Amino acid sequence: MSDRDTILSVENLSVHFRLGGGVFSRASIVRAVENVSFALQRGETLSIVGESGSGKSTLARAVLRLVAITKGSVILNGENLAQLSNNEVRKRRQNMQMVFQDPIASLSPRRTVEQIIAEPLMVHQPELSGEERSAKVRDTMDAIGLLPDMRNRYPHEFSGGQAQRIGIARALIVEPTLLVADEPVSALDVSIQAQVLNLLSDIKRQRSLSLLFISHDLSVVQHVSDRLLVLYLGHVMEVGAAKDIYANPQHPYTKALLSAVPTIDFSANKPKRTRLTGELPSPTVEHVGCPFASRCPMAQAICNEQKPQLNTVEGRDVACHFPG
Amino acid sequence: MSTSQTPVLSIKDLFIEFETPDGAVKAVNGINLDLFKGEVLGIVGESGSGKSQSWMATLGLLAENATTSGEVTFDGENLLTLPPKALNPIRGNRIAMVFQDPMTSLNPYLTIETQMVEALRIHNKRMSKPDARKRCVEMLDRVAIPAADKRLKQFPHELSGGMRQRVMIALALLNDPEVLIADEPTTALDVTIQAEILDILLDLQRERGMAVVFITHDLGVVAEICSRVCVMYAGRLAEIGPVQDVFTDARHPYTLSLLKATPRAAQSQAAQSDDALYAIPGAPPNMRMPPPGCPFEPRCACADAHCREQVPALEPLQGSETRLKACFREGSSAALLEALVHER
Repeated sequence: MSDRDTILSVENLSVHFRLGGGVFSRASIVRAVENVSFALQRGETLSIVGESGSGKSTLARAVLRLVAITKGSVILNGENLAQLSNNEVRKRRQNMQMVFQDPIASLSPRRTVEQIIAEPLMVHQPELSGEERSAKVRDTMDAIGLLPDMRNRYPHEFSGGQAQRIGIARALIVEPTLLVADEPVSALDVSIQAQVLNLLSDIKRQRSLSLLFISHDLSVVQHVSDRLLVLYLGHVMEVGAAKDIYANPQHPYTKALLSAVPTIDFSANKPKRTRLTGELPSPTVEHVGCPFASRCPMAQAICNEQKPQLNTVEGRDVACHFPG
Repeated sequence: MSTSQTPVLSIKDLFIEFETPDGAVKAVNGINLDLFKGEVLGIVGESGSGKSQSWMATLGLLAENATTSGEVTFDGENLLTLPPKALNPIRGNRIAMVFQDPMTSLNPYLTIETQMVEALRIHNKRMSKPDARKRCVEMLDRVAIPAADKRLKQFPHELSGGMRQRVMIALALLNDPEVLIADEPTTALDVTIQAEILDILLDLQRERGMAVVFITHDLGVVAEICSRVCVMYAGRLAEIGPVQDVFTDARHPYTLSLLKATPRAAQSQAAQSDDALYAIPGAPPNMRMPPPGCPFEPRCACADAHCREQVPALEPLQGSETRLKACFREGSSAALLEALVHER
């Protein structure tokens, strides 16, 4: 990015949940996000990747303060959201909007498209007249590739791809600076997925929007990202320019994750697969050492004793005792 | 596949219709396909292309409002017309199936042991319980489930998604089937777990020489594990052939569009991520009123008036014994690509 204009800066963010705990049992603590830091520039797309249970959705929700922040700060446009009251956060949501995974389920079935898309305006710009609101809805629908004639229809009349466009229009109508998209194309077929991905990259460019993109699909992520953050059990494993990480991953976890992606590649020099054995350990355990040590093919004694800090390796940050 | 080989299973003129309050849905519209011993056949297509339904039909697992016509021949018998009594010794035994969601296909009230032993003894009446149990442990070991003895005593909810899918595979392979139909078996799993399960599945397939039908929407998975691929659109076959040939030199505009719409994450192709993806315009047809001509015509960059009026038949490519396509347009993959780029 030539424009070093930081929109969002997350510092030492932790999110913990209490699990269980009743009269006869002690509560355990799920450490969903642990000490995560990153920054997002204007017009940049940062993708968060990791397996199920890695904390990627929780991290995104914490950024919007949709879940309570246990520790650390989320600084959006120079203001620490972690310290604001709920009421004040609600006002800031005009600047940060979200697109959800299931396009149909995230739209109210009893409301028309116009009502759905106009709703954020009712909350954030109540001073607008009905006519001004309608005009804005029409403009946004047009920009997103929805025919304005469709505004009186209901969500069930739309296909998955169109419903996702409605979800995107609803997020964009208040002109946010930050858009958080949580698995926005996972529920769509390939041909429709391409339409939505192209749309997202167009609007990002036109509006110099910053995008926080969450996905488990590493092919999709490679296509949309400027930067990449690899999460494992709530910990950052590797963060840096997406091109560099895809071309030459430094963390053993990133390597294993990328090599597991099935590819259409019939060449003889196709990279060999690193096999990971075992599964994600329980997130209720507090790790003294590296959280990935139990599945890591490179692990040594020190990995179980000391948590690796993020260090700059080959132009990106890697949390590993033995990177490369 | 050479033409001299006899297929293990053969589908002829298969049609499937679902009666609904809003009219009949023509889900599958005339499929002809042979499955050969020892091959891994990939079936790709989008939601609603009929890729699952055509194989559910072979095992008599369609919903009640379905009517079928045509033939599915297995060991000299037409599976479509067999009564359940005659079908039961075949399904789950000689032809087995693995579904996408292991949580809904395992019974939550029964232990893994009960379910596996039942699957064995229902087809082998004389097998003793201890023998059956021994065989189950072997099978769980084979799909890399640690502490198989202990796992047998557990209920499905005590296992992770990856473990449950391994149990499903073990369950399907208990009776040494000749044909395994796997319907999106790894779609709900993380890539790391998917990679492991695909390896296990391929090992077992090679070891037993069984035929595997792998239904998926993921072209990458097909490229990695299948020997042949069959591309479906709107209940018809668009293109069939050896995977590498079809993926590197697609001859049906739909196959090519699908390949161009798929983001690639090969490390060697890091540079290509800047291009926009090819987005196939429009949406798949409404199968209550499929278009009169080629079903892909409304979205196709290469279509002309002829395509609108007549359905192209699935025919061999000139000079090829292994490849077929259903498209009037002649010419190489490169010529089709030009039409796509031009349209954009």
